[in-house]
Amino acid sequence: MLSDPFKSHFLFLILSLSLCVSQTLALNSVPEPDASALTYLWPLPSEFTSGNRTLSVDPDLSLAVGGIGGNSAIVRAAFDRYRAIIFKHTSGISIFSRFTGRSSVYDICKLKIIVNSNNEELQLGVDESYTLFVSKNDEKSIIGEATIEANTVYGALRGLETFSQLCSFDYGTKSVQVYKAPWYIRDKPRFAFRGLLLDTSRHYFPIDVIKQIIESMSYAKLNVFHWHIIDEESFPLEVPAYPKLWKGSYTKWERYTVEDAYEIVNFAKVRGINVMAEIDIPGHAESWGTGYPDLWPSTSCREPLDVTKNFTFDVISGILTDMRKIFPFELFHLGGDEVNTDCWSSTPHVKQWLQDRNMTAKDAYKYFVLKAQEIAISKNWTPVNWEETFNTFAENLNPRTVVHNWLGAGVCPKAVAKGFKCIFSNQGFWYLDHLDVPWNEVYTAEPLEGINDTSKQELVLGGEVCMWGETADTSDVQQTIWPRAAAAAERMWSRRDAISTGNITLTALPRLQYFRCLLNRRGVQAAPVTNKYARRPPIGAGSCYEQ
Amino acid sequence: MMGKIVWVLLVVLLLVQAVLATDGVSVDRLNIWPMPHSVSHGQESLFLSKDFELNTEGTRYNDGSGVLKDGFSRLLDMVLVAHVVDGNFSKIDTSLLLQGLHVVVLSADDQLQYGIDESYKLSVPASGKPGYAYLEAHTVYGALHGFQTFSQLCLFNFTTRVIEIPMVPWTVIDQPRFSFRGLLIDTSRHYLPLPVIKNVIDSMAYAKLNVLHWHIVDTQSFPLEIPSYPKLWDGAYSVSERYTFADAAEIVSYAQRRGINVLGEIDVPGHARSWGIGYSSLWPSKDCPEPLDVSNKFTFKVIDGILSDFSKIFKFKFVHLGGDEVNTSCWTLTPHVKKWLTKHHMNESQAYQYFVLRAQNIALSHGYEIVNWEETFNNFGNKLSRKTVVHNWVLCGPLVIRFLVGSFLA
Repeated sequence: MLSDPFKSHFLFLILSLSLCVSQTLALNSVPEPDASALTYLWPLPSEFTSGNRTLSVDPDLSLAVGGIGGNSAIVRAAFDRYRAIIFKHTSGISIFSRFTGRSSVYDICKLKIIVNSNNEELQLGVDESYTLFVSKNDEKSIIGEATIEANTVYGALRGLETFSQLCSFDYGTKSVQVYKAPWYIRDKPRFAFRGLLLDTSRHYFPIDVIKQIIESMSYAKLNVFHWHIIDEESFPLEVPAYPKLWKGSYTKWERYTVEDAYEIVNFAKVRGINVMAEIDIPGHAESWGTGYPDLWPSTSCREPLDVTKNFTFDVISGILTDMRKIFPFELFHLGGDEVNTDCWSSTPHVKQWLQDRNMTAKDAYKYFVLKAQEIAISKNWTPVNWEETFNTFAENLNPRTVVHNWLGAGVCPKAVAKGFKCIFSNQGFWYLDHLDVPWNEVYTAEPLEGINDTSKQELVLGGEVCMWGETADTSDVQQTIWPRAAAAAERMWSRRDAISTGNITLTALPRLQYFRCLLNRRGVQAAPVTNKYARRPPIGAGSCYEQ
Repeated sequence: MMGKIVWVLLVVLLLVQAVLATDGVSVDRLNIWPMPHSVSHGQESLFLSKDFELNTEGTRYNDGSGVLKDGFSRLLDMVLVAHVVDGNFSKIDTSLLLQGLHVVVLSADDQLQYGIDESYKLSVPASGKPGYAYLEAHTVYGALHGFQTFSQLCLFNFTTRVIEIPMVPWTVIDQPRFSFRGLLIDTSRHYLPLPVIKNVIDSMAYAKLNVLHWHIVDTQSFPLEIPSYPKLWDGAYSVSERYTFADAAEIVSYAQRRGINVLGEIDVPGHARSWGIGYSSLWPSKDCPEPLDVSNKFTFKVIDGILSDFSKIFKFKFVHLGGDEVNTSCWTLTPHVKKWLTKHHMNESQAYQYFVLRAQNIALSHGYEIVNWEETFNNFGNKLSRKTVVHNWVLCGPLVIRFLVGSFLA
């Protein structure tokens, strides 16, 4: 039985009674962060109040943990990461305070993190809620502190991110300050699935770059890294069961070992991010045949995978067995989009096979997808498929299937009406390689559009922005992802009513511009927010905050 | 004729294909950048042992500051970042395992300055009884270049899952052609956060560049704290787009530990409008704010204060004083400056010369040698301090070349 951190704080309850949503949400629209009264948070927490005091934070800020889950390596490592972020400018100051023994001049010397569960399993729907209080020390205690309380370590991570966004370096006093204190924040995500797709087949991304992307996801509280590992162009991942598969990699250096994949999963986990792996079958798998040409209908007609051979499904099963050891997330993506079955109809042995079974090419597509679903389910996975599978044979899909929208509007409403779960990725808004989609269209795209029934709304797991890789490699991937992914991140995290009313040019744009500068400060190559095309560099000199 | 072209095209296509084909990408060629002075290699392979170590036996450099040790640990990071190294070392023949890198630095001095010896010799033994690779350098900074080269010899082997050095034995003898190999960053037109500047410095080290020319301030913004004149950084774009004095010292030290000098620049008098946000008397007038007011003694006091503060953190022997693109019309349009010019019998180009030379003298008084953009040389080359380094930028610098040829003939 977990204790509810919210209930335990009667002080917060009292304050939240007086919470005036209209007042607290009407964030100041001054585009410059010059007014020290301003503090910007992204994504917007679900409830918060602030005051008008400025508190200083001790550069020797220490961590105190509480609750049965507080003493967690994940929490401690995260505290160290965020300390490095918060105190980027203050090297030297803390030495000064140590010499003079003046550490008590700071208002906040300690960050207390209370975690009420020691279960560190990361899964879809894990409790990511937290409360964060930042207030000056009162008469009772000598040391001022900030407190984060959460039900899981992952909630604590979200609270740490918010805390880091409250801290700004003040160049006058050369110390880190929290403006508008005291802060009382009570926060939780709106959707359980808040994803980013990375495509490592169209271009190989080095491990270190993938880690940087995952790290930056945590700044926007995204929580699913959808790893589109393999596609037609290349097969970079090692599969021990079929060791010739990664012969389909671009070169012998552009590969991921099994251990590399583990490393990515663990790196993501300690940041509260699930990794959802994908094999996109049968239509995006030409590279599989470089190592095993039998998987192609013929050497001159290579895609989709040969539906007639047991070997095809043996390989799929082998891949899924190996991947199951690496990817603990309950969702697994089986692709299933853009299947052009011409090769099946034009390759004699496949054509014969279809005739023998009295199947059309479309029947064979269904047969393939359902058989792959069975394999995934047998490995205790919940299958995710791109929407064409649902559009073509919804009634045959396994009822556990999660339908992944991409083609356009209206699919999630249809899917949830039939009882399927759904992920929203409408390409008109959430395909990051579409460079002509401005931030506001990304921001206002609504996963629940057209779904009014609450019980059906719950079937929408969330959404995902997709960083397809044809025109993005290490040189430009981060500026293509950011800042627009952050626009979607707030859509998926924050309360719908709080971010869907009012003039977003005043309520959201200045905060997003601020967040893009925050990403820059942390070394993330986020592009200017309002450029006509995404990822374009600035057109002239100027402040980050006015690009 | 046509047939011949088609045939040539076909051959070219085949060649291109051979190079691009997956298995055609071969390690059996030199992939070191920049190409060392001399390189020889064999055809065998070695592997880095699990606890590949730094051995400094016989070195004369005590590494009290840890420059070498940190450089070695970055070398390991560079080599290991690409993949998880989890090979089974016990399965690898010990005669193929390289135990470490033996580094001998001949000079005890780790002062980084222009023209220091950056040469190094690196040898990686043949397989058989490999022991240690050997790196010898005159200075620790030469040794750092050797680390970079060594890291480029290393590859992750996807079969053995350990780091391989193909094509042993290696002998690399290397030294730079030029002592000044720079990269300019401009933190005035856009603020670059500290971690980004550090990334730039890291990447410079990969290419063995050795001077970070920090164009800190310009017309648009003044991001750096100057303790002597604390209102100067009021000219920053915003309260957060600033560097503290400690930040600047940190950048210099970060660069120095990677063998990179930092050349600080103030671009006077023509690229300095942002100075006047904090001290508006530096402008000829509010409406005509650039170049800096040549008639005001305060202008030179501020330059003196800045360079005095600079000299505490920028230890490179050069400072860059800019001097390019000076449009003097504000001097003739502003009554008090015009009056001053008349009084001192100067036209505007003489005032430009006066300004640059006076700034040069201030820099000299703080122990700096001076770098100026080429316009100063093009306009009054004979008057420049003999310690001036002329920084070319306009096209191919025909004027500079003409002058050099001319003075040589004379």
